[in-house]
Amino acid sequence: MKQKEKEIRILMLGLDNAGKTTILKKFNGEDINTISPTLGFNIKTLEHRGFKLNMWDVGGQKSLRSYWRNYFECTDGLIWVVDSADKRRLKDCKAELHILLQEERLSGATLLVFANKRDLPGACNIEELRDILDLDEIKSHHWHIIWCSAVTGENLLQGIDWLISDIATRIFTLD
Amino acid sequence: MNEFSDDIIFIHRSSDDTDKEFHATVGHIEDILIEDKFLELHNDFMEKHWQEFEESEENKFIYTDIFKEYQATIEKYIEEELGKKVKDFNMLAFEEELKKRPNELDSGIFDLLSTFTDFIQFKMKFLDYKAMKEGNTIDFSNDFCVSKYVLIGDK
Repeated sequence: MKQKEKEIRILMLGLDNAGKTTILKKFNGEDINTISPTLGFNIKTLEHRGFKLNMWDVGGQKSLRSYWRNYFECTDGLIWVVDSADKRRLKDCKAELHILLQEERLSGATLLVFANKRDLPGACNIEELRDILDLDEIKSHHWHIIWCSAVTGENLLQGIDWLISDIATRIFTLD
Repeated sequence: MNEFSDDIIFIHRSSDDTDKEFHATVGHIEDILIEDKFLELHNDFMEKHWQEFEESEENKFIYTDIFKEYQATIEKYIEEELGKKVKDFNMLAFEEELKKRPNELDSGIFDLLSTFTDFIQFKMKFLDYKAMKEGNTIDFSNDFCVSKYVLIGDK
């Protein structure tokens, strides 16, 4: 159930060490120097552009991924965070993403792919990721990929703004 | 939880039918919350789970299970009891109506009802309860000093 109008629920998932919690904290203006692997989940409620964003960040370790399904309900926006420099695990990353997109409870969610850690040497660029993650195969969801750096904060706002705009035109146009 | 056993004074002049219906429902909720059966159910639930909660920003997965159980027992109980008192009662519609009037209710009731839909409020409730429990169990171990006492005459 929607709490009230103009409230948006965003679920942030991705492999472990992708930078989900760092993105959440950076976006919320918090210190990001002491972040340890998430073993449960974090929630932040942020006011942005007149919307109340309920952001859920769930731990990404393999043993925790079976818990993701407990957080699908009522999700308006899905943020999939990728470590662009972790080339070794991009196949795993692609597989997990495409499994997620088959989930019925996420069928109405807009997908934003954050290509994080773009500033690290050897990081894949957007075109490479788009190809490796098979993003063009996604027909079931509105999606968008944007590079970012959670540490510097670059492009976080742009990504979130795209996500909100897409969700807002879908959900709140009847207002 | 003492907040539910306190007397609740509620004064409001109802103007239209929606208003009357809303305030009648609130009145019924107030009645339910002070019934022994509810207090026992609520107390048992809090006692069963409070030790799982920790004063940490990160949440444990088990909180989500407890939250679901909370909705399936505590919220459901209120919903069912209301169903007996109010014809065609609809909890969702009532909660929607409630959100339009956040300042009209006794804050205890509003807070309680918000714990059914808002996970953060639910977690805060448990952390408050935990603080209360831990505050009540005073640890005397630091207040006692055990030392050997030797009478001089024994030497």
